[in-house]
Amino acid sequence: MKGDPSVRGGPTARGRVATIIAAVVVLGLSLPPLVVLLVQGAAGAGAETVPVGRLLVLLGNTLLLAALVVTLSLPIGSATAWLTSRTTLAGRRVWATALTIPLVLPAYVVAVALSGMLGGDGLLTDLLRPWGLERLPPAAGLWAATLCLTIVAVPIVHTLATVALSRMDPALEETARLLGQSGPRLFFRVVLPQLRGTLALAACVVALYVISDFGAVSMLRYETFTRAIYAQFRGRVEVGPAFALCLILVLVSGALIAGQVLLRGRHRAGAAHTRPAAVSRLGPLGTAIVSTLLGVVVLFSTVLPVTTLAAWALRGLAAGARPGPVLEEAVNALGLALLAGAVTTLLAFPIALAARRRSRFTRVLEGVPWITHSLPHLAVGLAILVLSIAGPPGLYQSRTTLVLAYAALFLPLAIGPLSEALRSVDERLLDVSRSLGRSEMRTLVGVVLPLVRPAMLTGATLVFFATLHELPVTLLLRPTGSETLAVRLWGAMIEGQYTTASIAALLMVVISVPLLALHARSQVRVSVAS
Amino acid sequence: MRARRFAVLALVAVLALTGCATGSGASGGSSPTDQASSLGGADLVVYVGRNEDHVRPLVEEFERRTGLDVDARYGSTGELATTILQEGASSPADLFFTQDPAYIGAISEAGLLSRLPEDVLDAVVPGIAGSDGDWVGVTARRRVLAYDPATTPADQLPDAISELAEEPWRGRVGLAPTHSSFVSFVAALVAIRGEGEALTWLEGIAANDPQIFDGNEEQLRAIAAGDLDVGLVNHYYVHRLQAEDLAFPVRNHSFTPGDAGDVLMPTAIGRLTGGAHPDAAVEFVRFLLGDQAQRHFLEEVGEYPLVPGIGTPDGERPLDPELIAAMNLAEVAGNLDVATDLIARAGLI
Repeated sequence: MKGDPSVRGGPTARGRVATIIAAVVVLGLSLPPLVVLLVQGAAGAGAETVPVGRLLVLLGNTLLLAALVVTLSLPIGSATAWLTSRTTLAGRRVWATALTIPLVLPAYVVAVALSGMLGGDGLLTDLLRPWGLERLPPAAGLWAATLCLTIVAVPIVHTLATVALSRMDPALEETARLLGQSGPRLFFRVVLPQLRGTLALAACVVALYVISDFGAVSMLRYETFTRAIYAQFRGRVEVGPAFALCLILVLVSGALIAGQVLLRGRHRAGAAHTRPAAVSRLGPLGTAIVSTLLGVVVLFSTVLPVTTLAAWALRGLAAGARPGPVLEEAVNALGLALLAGAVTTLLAFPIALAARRRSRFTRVLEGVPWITHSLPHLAVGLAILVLSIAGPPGLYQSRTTLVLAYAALFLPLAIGPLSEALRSVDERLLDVSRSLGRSEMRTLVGVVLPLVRPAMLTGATLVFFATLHELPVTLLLRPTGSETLAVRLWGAMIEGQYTTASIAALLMVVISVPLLALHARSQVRVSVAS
Repeated sequence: MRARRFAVLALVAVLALTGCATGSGASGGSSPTDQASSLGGADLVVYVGRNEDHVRPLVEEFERRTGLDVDARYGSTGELATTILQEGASSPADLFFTQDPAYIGAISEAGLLSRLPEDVLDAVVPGIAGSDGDWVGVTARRRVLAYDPATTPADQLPDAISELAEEPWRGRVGLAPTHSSFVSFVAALVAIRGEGEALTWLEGIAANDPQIFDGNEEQLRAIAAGDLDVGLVNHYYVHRLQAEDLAFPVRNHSFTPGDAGDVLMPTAIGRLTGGAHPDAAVEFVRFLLGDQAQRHFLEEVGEYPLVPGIGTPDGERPLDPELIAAMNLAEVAGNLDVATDLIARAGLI
């Protein structure tokens, strides 16, 4: 992406070793679940379980929800991105941070918060009753699911759009400004068209999130396709049909990804521009309006959910509810997430290194983990369960299998930043190191590694968060007797134990936020140093 | 600069979050090979498809008494059953403690349970055990209709479940059709009334615009909050929630004795053939059928003890032996797939 150095002709010995290791990782980790899913799904395809008409209804529900969430989150997310990065809005950085906080909340946690907030016994109903409002409707059905997933989707769009804005060539905007365009007109006429590719990507990411979600829609009682899969898994001796239904979901995901690629067209994410873009000036009135609107977004996405969770936790504890061993599970979850972060980054390294050589083979190596990543986690978990039962004794229900499963799911999160960083390492630097007589290995450790360390940390952090939030794979593969926060939260929700669920959700936030902040700071320091 | 760095980090975090589907279950057709237990150390492994809060104190008491180290895997009955079916003979579990009979029946039909000693089978009320003596009931719950007397007067409540499919109840009935308790209830309907009648009832209910839930306590909470009128649940949830909150307004309504809605749902335990600790497993079953555990289920949970002479939950009518005999629980246990199919065909999945 960046005025490419002479990667192609790089010394082959190092490349070949990396490629071999990468191939082993991909063949051993990312590919097997795919194969199991395909074989089992094909075997179960004949069984008719849920009537076709009903399946179509469920699929329609899923797609309707995805469409609504995309339609709502794209404008909100791109508006917040533009307001916080391209205007003179006071406290832009604080707003930007506040808007991204929901990224540490999995959708099912937002769902817990919403159902504690609304309905006859909801916190918000209690708050509004003195004002003459009898009751809010319970958080259930299409609108609740839309609200919940939009809350989760807005920061996703916001983040993608913010990055795109920061990479956009400011020249076009400056020209437009000279021609007298400003404010919203500038945004709609000049900025938005340039965001097309990013918005297509955002729509795809959000839609994929929605169609594979199970926890949130299930808690909010909206009937989607994942529900049919889930019902097949837990209510039946045969599991082939469930795999077959998974395959349908995979087809839909595939169509979405293909559609996104088409929509994006030849639009390529441009190189990062060092020159900062000009900002639009907001008057006092504009500032007031914009701050209020942003305030509403933050209120619903962060303040109210977290307050609700805290209130339910306190209310329950005061009434004498005994939460389960939540702290123990927090420690367990933390340990697993750290381990998964480290292992996945380690496994991602050879793949990212191999991807420096842009051959068709290395493209495939880099692509397969993405396919596994975009499958419903339930499907991947089941496939790995099948494999680990059939595999060597000692693997089933072991920590090793669980961590490897996380790695299979989250490899791309570690590969992404790493291969970007590796690609920007100047080959001449490595030549210098080699000409000074250092071996390939010492060059790698002494020169390359320090250069890409921040990217490795970024990848590890992302895997950490993903692992902390992961539910279906954890439910299936965790060793007996070792629960995690996500498992506890899920169990407590099903049993209607809001106190325990709230405490687990709060702990998840408590673990996530400081880490995210700490990491953001370390990134700043690195960027200053380099 | 800082904002941008933060954004770049968050950007990939976005990707981390995608595909965060939840759910669970287990999977298909692996060959049950040799023992793959990695649970070295534990003296007993129990898969518990029941609320952890109810069972954990008993597990701890058993450990304290016997000095054995017990590993318990808590989860939903349906998921654990599917897991065991996939694990086959290589399941690391010694025991499966389920909250609904249809699921232990599926395990039994797969030939994964071994016969329990006579003293254990004889300890409980007759009629609540597998036909091969490979599982035994521990406690029982009755199907009831939960309601709030303040919003739905008791004299308006139906005597038979068939009424719930009629116009006055349109949009007012809560169900958890994918929950194991409902699936087992349908399995019982099939055993008592046959497939045709069960399907007719399911289709009637499905056409009457029911409110679909995931679990039973959610329904009680919705009723208490005034968001739902009645819910088809097991009787003991009310007892538990009242124990936590004396002012909890929801009550149980029983269908007329003999109605298809008035069925008994035992919780059951079975010993897995592949377990590495068969003796400790039987010890644990004896413990669950002992005085202390049976009282725990009666007093703390509000369930019917299945060992005779312990008592009846507060405010519930005593167990009717004729009713139990008519239920044919051994047959209920064989109806899991049939029940799931019917629920799906009625459009409730």
